[in-house]
Amino acid sequence: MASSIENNNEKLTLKSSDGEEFLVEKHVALQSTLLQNMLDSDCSSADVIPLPKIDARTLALVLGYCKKHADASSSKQGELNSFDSEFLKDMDMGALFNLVLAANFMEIKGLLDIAAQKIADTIKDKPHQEVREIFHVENDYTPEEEAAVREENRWAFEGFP
Amino acid sequence: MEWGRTEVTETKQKTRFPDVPKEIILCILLELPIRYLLRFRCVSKRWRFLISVLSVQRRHVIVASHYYQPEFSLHCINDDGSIMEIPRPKPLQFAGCLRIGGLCNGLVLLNSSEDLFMWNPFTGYCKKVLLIEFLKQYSDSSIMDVSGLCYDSSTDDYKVVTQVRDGETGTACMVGSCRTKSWTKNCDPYYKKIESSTFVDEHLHWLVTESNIGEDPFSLVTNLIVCFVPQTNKFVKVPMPDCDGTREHTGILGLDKVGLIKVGLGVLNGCLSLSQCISKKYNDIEVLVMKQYGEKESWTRLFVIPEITLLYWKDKLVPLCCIKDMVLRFRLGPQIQAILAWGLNKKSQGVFPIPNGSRYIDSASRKYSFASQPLQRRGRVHGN
Repeated sequence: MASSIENNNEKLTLKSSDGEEFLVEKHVALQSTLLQNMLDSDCSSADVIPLPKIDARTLALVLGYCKKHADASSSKQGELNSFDSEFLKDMDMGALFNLVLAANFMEIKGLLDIAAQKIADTIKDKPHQEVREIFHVENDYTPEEEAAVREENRWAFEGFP
Repeated sequence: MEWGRTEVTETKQKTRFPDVPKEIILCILLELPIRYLLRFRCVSKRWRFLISVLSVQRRHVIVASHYYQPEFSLHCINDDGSIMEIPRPKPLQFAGCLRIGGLCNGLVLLNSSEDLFMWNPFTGYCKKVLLIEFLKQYSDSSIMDVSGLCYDSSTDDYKVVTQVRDGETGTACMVGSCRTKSWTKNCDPYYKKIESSTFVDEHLHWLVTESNIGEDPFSLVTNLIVCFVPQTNKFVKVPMPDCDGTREHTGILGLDKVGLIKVGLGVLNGCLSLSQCISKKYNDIEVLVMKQYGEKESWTRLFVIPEITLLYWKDKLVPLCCIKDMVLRFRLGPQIQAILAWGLNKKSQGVFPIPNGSRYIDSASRKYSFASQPLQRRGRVHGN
C-alpha cells in the first residue's frame, strides 16, 4: 500500500468509514484544515485517525487531490488548474456529492470550491423540479405560490418547463 | 497504493444522492449565475430563503454617484478591483433630480421629487413604491431627507425612513411601509440629522450627534450610533466601543464624553464598522468592527491607517467593503471625493478614480440582489 512512499516525512494513518486504512504523508494531510488542527493540537498521537463519514473510494480521491496540491504548491498554477478540471471530469453526481461532503468535513477549501462549481455546472441547466429531486427537497409551495414566484422571475424561465 | 482516479471502483452509486447540509448548498448556489438562481427560487421556500441569503455573500459593491439626473450613474466594483458601470434605470417619469435614498438587500431606493422607486440594478426591475404626496396627508411637514431603506423580515416589508420638518424648527421622522403604502410618524429622541444610513443585521444605522449637545455649532461631529428597528418602528442606541481614556479626545466639543471623533460608519464583511480619529491631529484613523452584533465587547480594531489628512473637519471616511486584501473606504468632503483602497497586506493606500466627477457620491456595499420587490404587483413600471 502506501509504503511505496519512501522518505523520512512523518506519516499518519487515516481510516475510512468502511475500514480501509490509508497511510498519508504529513505535508499531504496538511491540505486539510481539519487534520492540520488535529496535528497542531497533538491529537495525532493516536495511531489511526478515523474518518467515519468518508468511504474509501471518496477518501482515495480526496487524498489524490491533496497529494497533487501539496507536491505542486510552489509550481505552476496552470498545471494545477488543468489537474483540477481533469480530476472531476466524467465524475458522476453521486461521487461529486460524496466528494463535496468529504471536502467540507475535512475542510479542504480548494476541493470544496471546485466540486461545488462542478455540481453547479451540472444542475444549472436542469429544470427546478429535477433539482428538487437531486437535493431531496420537499416542495412546500402551494401551486399558486409556486406560480407566483415563477411569475416574479418569468424571464429566467424562458425555455424551461 | 497511489492515490488517484485509477482507484475508483465501479460500485455504481445508486440514484439517491446523499443529503447535503445548508452550507454546501450555499457553496453550490454561490457558483451559479443569477439567471439560474432566480429560477431555483421555485424549488422550495427554504431555497428561496437561501438564495436571498446569497445576496449578502456576493461581493459586488455598488458605488452610486447621486443627485441630479444627468450625472446620475451607478458603478460596481468587481472582485478584481475593476470598476464597471451598471445601466441606469430605464427612463421613468423621473421629474428633475434623482437621488439614492437607501440601499438594502441590493435593492436601491430612488427618490425623485414626488415618488419613491425601488430598483433592482441587476435585473433592471423598477417600480414605484411610495408617494411622497401621501406623506403630506399625515402632517404638513415637508421632506428634508430620505434617510434609508430597511427590510423587516417579520412582515416581509421594506420600510423607508425619512426626515421631515415638524413645526417651526423641529424635525421628525416618518416611516413609510412599502407593503401597506402608509406613513407613520415617529419622534426620535436622538438624532439631529440622519443621513447616509447603513443596513446591517436587519437594523438601519446612523452616526448622529447626541441631542443633549443641543445647538452645538459642530453638530456634524457625530458621536453616537443609533439604529432604527423596523420590527418595532423604534430608534435604539447601539453600544459604542470603549474609548481608551488616554486617547480621549477633548478638543472640538470640550466634552469628555464625546470621546474620539467618528468619521464614518459602514459595513465590512457583514459587520457594522466604524472609523474614528485616534490622534490629536485627526490624521490617524482607526477602523473597528462589531463582530457580534449588539455586543459592546465585540468591537474589535481591524487596523489603523496612519497619516491620513482630513482636510476638513466634516470629511468622512466610510468603511466600504473588503475586496481581496483591500479595504475600500469612501471619502467625502466638500473638496475631495475619492474611494481610497487600503491594502491590508502591504499597508499602503491607493485611490480609485470616481467616474463622472460628480458632486455628491453615495455608496453601499451591497451586491447582487435576488430579493424580490415589495408586493402590490400592480403598476410594474417597465418590463424587462
